[in-house]
Amino acid sequence: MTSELSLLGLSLQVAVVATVMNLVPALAVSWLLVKRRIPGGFVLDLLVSLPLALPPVAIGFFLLLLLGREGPFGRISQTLFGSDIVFTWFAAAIAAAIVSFPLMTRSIMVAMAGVDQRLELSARTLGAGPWRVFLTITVPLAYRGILAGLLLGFVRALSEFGATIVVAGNISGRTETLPLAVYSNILLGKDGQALKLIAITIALAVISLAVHNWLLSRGGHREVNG
Amino acid sequence: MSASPLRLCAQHECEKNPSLIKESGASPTLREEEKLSPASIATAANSNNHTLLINVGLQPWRALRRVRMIAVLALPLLVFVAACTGTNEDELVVFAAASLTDVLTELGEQYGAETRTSVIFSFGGSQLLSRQIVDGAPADLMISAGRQPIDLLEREQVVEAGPFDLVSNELVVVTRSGFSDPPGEVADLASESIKNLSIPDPNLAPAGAYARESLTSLGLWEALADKIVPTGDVRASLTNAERGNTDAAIVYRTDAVSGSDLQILDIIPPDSHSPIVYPVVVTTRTKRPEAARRFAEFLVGEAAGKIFARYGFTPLFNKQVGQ
Amino acid sequence: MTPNADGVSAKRPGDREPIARFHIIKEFSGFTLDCEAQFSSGVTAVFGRSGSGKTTLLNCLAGMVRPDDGYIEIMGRPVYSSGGNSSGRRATHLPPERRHIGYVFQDGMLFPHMSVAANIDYGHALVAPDRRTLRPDDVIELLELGPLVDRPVGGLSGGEAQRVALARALAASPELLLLDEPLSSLDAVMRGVIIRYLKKVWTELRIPMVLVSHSLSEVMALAEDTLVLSGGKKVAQGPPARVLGEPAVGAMADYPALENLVEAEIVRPTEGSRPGQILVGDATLEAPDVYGRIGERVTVSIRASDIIIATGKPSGLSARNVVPARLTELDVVSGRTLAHFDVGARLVVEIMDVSVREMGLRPGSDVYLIMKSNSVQVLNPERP
Repeated sequence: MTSELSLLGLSLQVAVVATVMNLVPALAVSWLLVKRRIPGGFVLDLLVSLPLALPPVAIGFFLLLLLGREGPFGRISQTLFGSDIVFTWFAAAIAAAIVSFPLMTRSIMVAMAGVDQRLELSARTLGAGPWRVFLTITVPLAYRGILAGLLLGFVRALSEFGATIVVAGNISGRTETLPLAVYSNILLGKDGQALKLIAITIALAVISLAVHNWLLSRGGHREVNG
Repeated sequence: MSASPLRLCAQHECEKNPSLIKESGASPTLREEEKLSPASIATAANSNNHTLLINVGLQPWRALRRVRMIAVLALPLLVFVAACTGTNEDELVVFAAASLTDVLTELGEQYGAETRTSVIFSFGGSQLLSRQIVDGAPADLMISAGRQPIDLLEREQVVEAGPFDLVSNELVVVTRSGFSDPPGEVADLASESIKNLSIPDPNLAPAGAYARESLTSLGLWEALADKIVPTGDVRASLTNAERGNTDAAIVYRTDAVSGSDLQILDIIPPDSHSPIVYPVVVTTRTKRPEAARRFAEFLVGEAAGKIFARYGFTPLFNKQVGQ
Repeated sequence: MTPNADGVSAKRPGDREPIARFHIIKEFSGFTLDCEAQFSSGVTAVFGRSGSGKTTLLNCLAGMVRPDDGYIEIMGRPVYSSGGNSSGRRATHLPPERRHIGYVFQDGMLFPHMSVAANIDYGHALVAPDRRTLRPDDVIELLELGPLVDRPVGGLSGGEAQRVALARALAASPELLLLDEPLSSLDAVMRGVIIRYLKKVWTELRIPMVLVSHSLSEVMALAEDTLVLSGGKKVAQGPPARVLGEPAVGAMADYPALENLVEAEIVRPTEGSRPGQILVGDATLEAPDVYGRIGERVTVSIRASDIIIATGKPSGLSARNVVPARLTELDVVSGRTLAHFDVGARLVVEIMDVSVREMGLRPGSDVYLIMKSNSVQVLNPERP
């Protein structure tokens, strides 16, 4: 069986990549829904929240259809790079990204909503366009909440199992993440090993959640009201 | 406070119009958020103004704002590019039934040490594994528990070479080591000394299906109906016998070997059930068919055979593999 | 056009084109704002009760809210039009950042993650060099913000924050400045201070202002023109003194609380138990709390109901202030009479109808105004 260190390394790699991939889309979607209030926002919100409500294996199945050799993205990958996406660590990262996207986005939406809109309007009257307002006002004031959202997404990505096993399989050294290793050990009756891996997972989760809570408790900037 | 107020001066204006710089000795301060004057830092330190101190500490962080922004946006692109630069092709990827986990791991390590070709595994349920291969999983070889999962591969035409039966397994009866009246032959299972018998649920585990097949063909299935305690998987049956929850259990030899405190009774005739075989195939997914074959040959060789036997498998030394 | 002493027309906004010309229609549930008006003065106030639509009007001018119908022109430039066939205009809606209109929120709304200096610099840096009319230095000096410049925004008092917000808006060289209830969240003393600064924006920087207020006293103190809104409709428009007497205003104004907020100059500060002296227009008044330097300008509050009128000069009174004045106007509204007096500055006095008749008061009457020194409140924060 693969060593704990390499399992940890692969899990972290997959979770970090998933989180990084989610960052820009999560910021964009949050901005659209909270600040821009686009028409049809209701539908967008629904789509974004969908992975929360679906069983991860179902998500994995859909991903398989999209990313598999016969699927649209699989074909693109074959033509451009000559290799598959499915059953690679990248597929595991994509699965983790999709599953953790709603959590991250919702947290970021809350953080952005917490920035008084009148601050942003003030910046607009001072000559700043929407993009500049986003970069100089919204994000700096919401950045603690945004980081917390990132961490939440990261934690969820770390523990992703159902979608990963469907679309990435359980190939040791390539797609065997901590949760998958726990599962294999349980199946084989290796409870001791399973518990060891679970302990590692718990340690990671505790650290991440502690930082997450600390970030949120700091509260960011109070508004100036004299 | 004797500190004179700092003047603000937007960059272009200062450059065009030096007279705007009214402070003696003070160089034009460009963006005040990037720098704080020593006077104000001193004031902050004295006043216990934590916010200001944190602001001071964060100056370089803020100054790098642009850099951070670009880094954050570029990162996903870099990651994507890195991801697409392919997988490691010096490895052999072997998909194998979960029951082969321990033995194949050891064999893989040995092979890796001898030949410097590393073997990585994906262990799981055979049906699931063959489905994954059909969907594109990059397995060079697959070793299945039973023939049926291989059928799927053959139907989908992903079999490059094989199937070749690697090893086989046998059903055995186990009791705990202290059991006073172990059955001497399979018919004894029906006697009163065996009050209950644990087998894996035939609907859930292949081992159970084989057990039922065997007992049925021996005419014992009806007689044992009341005594049989089905379990979710083989491991649970084994545990039942180990702990004495049931007097006996029917399991694979390979499971019995890994158990503790057991008497292993070789009383089930192998011809009372279909052969329990573990075939290996080389899949069409492989990019190194020769390397794959060599590994398969290793698996049917003498050295591998000894290791298989230690785990309770029966090596078949299948000559077909070399051809 | 008003000719000055030379007979030559003085250039004022409104001579070439009005500061703002608009017809704004905006519907909410249960309430519709439908207002057509024109602003030509340096300082215009929009007066009305809460919920009359005045803040919405301001937000439409600023571009923060999009009207349902109508048009808005600022300094002759169309910034909004619904593009209806009848108006002959194209559909337009300039976003706030392109309107060059400054805005000061009631609560200041300073950016909490930046220092005072960075706040002020924010808009200035975004102005095209050829449009710059104000430098942050000038604005900081005008509003006396020098000592505060390095401070983080969190430690400022209400009045300080309001000044910084004002400076920030001005530093962006706006063509028009909008203020939403700029004095409402301040205490009495701070109000007096900010009133002086607001006046400077027009008198020294020549930037026209539109401010929203529900306080008639503030409107009287600051504005040259007043638009009165009620239920989303315009019910009166004109100079505050005249609008004061309109029945529509009478219905919503809080006359007992009406204050004269006038500018005064310190003649002699308070020393110990001796009251200080200030100069209001031509009248020298005594007041108990005069703190500051001689010659310093301050705002003074005298309630309209605290002034007594005498037709002859009285003697033997405890009241310290007896000043001659000429009655310029009488407004009877809501059962009350407001008498306007000229002492070099305008003072409004509330008096009963009966007294007016019995005393035979009419425009042109010369009288004496009597005020206790306690009634003369100097709104100056500097206290030793």
